[in-house]
Amino acid sequence: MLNFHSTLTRKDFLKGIGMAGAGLGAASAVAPMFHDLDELVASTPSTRNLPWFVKEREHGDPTTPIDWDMIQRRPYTWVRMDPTLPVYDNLKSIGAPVSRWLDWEDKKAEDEILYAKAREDFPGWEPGLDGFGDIRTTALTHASEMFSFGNFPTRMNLGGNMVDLVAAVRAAGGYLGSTDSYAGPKMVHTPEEMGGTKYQGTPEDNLRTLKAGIRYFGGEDVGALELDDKLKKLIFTVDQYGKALEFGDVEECIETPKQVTIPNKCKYIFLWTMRQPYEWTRRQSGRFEGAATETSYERAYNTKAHFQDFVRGLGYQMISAGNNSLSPAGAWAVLGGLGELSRASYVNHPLYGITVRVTWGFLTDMPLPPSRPIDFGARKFCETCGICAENCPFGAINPGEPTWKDDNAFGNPGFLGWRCDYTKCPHCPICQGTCPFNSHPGSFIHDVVKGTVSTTPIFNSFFKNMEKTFKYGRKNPATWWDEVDDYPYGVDTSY
Amino acid sequence: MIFWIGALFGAALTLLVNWLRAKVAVRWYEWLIGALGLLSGIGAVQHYFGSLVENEPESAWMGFLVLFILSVLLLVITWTLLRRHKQSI
Repeated sequence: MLNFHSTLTRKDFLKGIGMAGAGLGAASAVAPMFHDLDELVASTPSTRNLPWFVKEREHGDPTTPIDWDMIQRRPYTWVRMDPTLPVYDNLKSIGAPVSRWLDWEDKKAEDEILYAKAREDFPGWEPGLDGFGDIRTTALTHASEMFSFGNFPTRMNLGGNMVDLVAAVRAAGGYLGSTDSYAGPKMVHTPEEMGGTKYQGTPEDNLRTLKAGIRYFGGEDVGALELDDKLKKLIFTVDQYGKALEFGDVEECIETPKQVTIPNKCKYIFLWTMRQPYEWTRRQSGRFEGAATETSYERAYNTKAHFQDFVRGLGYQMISAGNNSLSPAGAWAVLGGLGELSRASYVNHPLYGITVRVTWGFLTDMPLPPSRPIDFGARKFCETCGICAENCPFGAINPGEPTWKDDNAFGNPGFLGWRCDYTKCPHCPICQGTCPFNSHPGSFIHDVVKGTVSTTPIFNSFFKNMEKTFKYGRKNPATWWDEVDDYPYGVDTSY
Repeated sequence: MIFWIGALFGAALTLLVNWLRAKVAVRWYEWLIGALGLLSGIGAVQHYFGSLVENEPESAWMGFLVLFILSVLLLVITWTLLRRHKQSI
């Protein structure tokens, strides 16, 4: 029975005993390992393919401490709504739970702060015709808003007529005037409807299949969780559209204008990420997030709809409306190991930093293997760094120590961390482009830094200063047009 | 392309090491400092071109300068040690 088989991957092996054991590892790698296919499948690399400097932690133990006794199910609250947003009228008409509706004067005062910041950061920058910058940037930003957040346009040329698609869709029974539905578009037939049986795989097979599907439609990294009583506490009682979220012994998800009933059998959470175009992310300037963010919110809703129907075609349900509809977007993602919670309140992914625009969690009846939280030294780094907070012109990001205190109108108790004050945050484009973890892995130096940060925090202050000295982070938007030969879709998919 | 650069570099390094060993008995710390100097020089070049791929021209130049100066310093130290070492034999 010697050398029978090992379920330990070479990667895990090297992580465990260090690089000094590489020779020994190589010897074991060439030794006879498998006796049958089951053993081979058991030993295939993890679906996650985490970078070498990432350590996995125990289930339920992310780097952000959590006190589950402090967490109860609660309703979603929009703490502010800006009149310049396309969803403003829509949310008002459906009675969405918004605690503060800004008027145009409020927004104008914020805009002046943002323009001053952009002028200071990028000499020569001017707000242009619509507060986003020069005419090229304005045009790119406006064109990126077409189907943002899955919303149908209120004026679109269709065959020579300008059509209000929101009104048309609503008149036809589409409640929100959006492509977004909890159960997905349901445009494909289920296997049963076609006279077949659903896809049957092990939980690991299922996750691999879902990973392939989400990546095909534009997602990237994946994870999974099993919905227990603790994780259920993170599900809102009322969602961002004012719908009550409830569980019931129903076969399929039932959605009405005021209520969503989720089948009890949907006890798995599928997690996925989507990156935002990196070069534009760090060049967005002016009154609101900008082209990279708008584009990503269009792509993410598109991906979501395609993916939900892909899973329907496999014979399962994939339930969620977009964004924060079920739960705070980062919470499940952190617990499922898609990243660590950052000071700026984004999920910090080990490869893409806080440029992951989407870290969504969907409920499904497809059995999935839970993934573990991860640690790559990001939270420790945030404790020292604070570049995002230094750059926030509204003081919305906590520059101090992490705290259990939940004094934010958004309401987010139960974790020791930094809470973005969403009453102050106007969703400007600044903080997301400043994070040192966003770096593109061209130079070897990023691997050295990430490897060091994941092992010891003693150089964190030095690395923060180097980040600033070497002028990483945000860039002048004008350089994108004149100096950058960007990737298709703005995303370098080689890493 | 990368293959040929690597092959040429490997051949040059082998020739250099054989030539050095034929000329003088190099001590372990001289190997170490020399290797670090060489790595720093390679790092300077990789960082420069890698940073251009990242659209980070300022970082490219600053990093190149830091690593290149470090490389020159270490190689000069190695060379000086070798010369003194050889003269003392």
